[in-house]
Amino acid sequence: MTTTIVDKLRKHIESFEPTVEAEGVGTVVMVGDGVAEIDGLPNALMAEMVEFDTSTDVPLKNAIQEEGKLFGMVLNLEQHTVRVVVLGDTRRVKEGMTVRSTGRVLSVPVGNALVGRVVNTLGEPLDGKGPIESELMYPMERSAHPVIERAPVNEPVHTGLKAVDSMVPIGRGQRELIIGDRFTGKTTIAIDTILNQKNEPKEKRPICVYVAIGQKESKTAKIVAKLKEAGALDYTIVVNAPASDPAALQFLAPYAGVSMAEYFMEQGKDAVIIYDDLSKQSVAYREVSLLLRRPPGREAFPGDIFYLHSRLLERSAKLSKEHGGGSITALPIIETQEGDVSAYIPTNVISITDGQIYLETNLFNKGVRPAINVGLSVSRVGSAAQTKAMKKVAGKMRIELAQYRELEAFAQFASDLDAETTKRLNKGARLVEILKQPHSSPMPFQDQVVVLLAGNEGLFDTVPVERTAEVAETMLAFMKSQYTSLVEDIAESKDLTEHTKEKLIAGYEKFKEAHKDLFT
Amino acid sequence: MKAAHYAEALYEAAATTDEATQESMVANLVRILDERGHRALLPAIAREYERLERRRSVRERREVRVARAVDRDKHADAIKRDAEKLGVDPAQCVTRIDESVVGGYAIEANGTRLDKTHKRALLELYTRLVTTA
Repeated sequence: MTTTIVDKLRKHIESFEPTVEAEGVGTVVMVGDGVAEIDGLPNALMAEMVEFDTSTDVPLKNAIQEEGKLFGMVLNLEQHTVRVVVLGDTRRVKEGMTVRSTGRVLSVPVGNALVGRVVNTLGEPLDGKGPIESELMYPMERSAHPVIERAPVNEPVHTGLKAVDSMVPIGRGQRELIIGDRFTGKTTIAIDTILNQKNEPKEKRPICVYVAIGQKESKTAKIVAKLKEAGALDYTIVVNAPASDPAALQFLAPYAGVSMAEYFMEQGKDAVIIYDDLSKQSVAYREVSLLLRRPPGREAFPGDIFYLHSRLLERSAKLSKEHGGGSITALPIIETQEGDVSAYIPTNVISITDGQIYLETNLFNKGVRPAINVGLSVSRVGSAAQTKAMKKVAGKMRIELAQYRELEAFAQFASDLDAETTKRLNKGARLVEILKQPHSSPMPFQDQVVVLLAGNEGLFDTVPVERTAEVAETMLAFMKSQYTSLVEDIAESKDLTEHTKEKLIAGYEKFKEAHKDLFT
Repeated sequence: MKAAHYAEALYEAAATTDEATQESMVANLVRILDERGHRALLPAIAREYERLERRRSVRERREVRVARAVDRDKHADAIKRDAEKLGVDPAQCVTRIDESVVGGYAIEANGTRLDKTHKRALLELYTRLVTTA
């Protein structure tokens, strides 16, 4: 064994040819707060990756013990100096240290080798499963695909959440913002979407990329564990830039994630990317910009804060068939303060995305979870991103719920209500109960169709309101066991024919007969 | 106006002038400082000016780095060829002794460097062995 190792080492040494090229160099003249000022680097490019030579003036045996290469990114080009954000531990940078140009912009490894892995912003593994074997590198900053290469969004991404798939449907290639105060279930919606992709057929299943920006490591660890337990990590990449990372790595993490997703899109596959969350990315970018002495604007954000998000989100697209037909669906998350959606960053991102899912704290506290405010939530793609089956059952739900909310407020003050109003209130209350869903329990779309159709047909009208969800669950289990072929037919054809509908309605009656105790 | 601003203005103005003009520039600066009541900034301006000078010398550095003085002669031909590649006369390159490079040489001029030191090669070999092993 030892001889083999020695032979291998000898072979490497004998065949070794050092690569010697002329390289642009500079010297660190100042460093602090994650930013280094460098004299020299005469041909530095904007966003170029530079390497800090940590072996400068250090004996060889100490240089070998260094923790690995240290990179930086050029973000300010001044007359004689260059300001670089350090992408790692700033304590390793010293004044007088030599800095080398790499001649290339900041890039990350991409490819199938990343699927199932947890990596940092630079694509380095964090999960202890060994190095990432990927030969292809994509730059973090890439131009979005032009209009001519795109196709309309017409295929759904099923989140597995009844409230979302029925009323705020998301299509492949769409950007749908998830916005709400802290602890309203934003991340839960995103993770449930990833979990639900397990219900998609393998050939149509999108690759998921979860980008954690400025999060607690414990939160990300829980998410990774949940994905692993559910078998969802097999088709997911996790890019982690925790709160303990330098601000530069935090603001670059979403770009790293979308570069990884673009690889799959350009292979003709679909990808879903979640940015959790862009509010923290904005704060990190503000920090970096202020340290680079860029002039502060509104709320001390730099003038290009809009561009930070617009160029990121524009990279999510649905490509035309000529370009492979792949897509990236983006689910950016924004955290609001006290429900203020008219603040600077939320309004910026709302204006970029193709819709938003607005989560409210008071709905969450009332037990309506997911706490979606249907009135303020919208999908600009709409029913173009729904299956025919879902379109047929979800058609009037938004209006009914909106009418219910209006009447609900009115009913608190009025004493005698007419029959029509009472009927709407009863139906609306039961609809709210049907749309409630526990977390980590995504539902395949065919199951959603069965439940929603039952609601539309008035199956739950004589069920006590507080038991509606329970009865719906029991009914679904009954239908899946007794009418399996119907449910499978909906799953396969993605449509609800009249014949199937009649059979389902007959099934509901049978259920009612078999469970008379559940109905008053 | 901060001392750094005065120093930078003086530095830029003096960069392309002769000594006589530079002397009159300094006299003018002192007069302006007096007029504006900024005479107290003069020591800080001098320090900033020195700092700018130091940084210029770092930028315009032309040096050959070797582990021992004899290595400069040993690699004279190769250094001459590389100096021509970098567009500089090897005679203008100052020799800097740095034992940590172990052997070989590195030549730097006009913000570009060719590093043919043994230290660089050994580090590269080590990195390759460690990552491919």
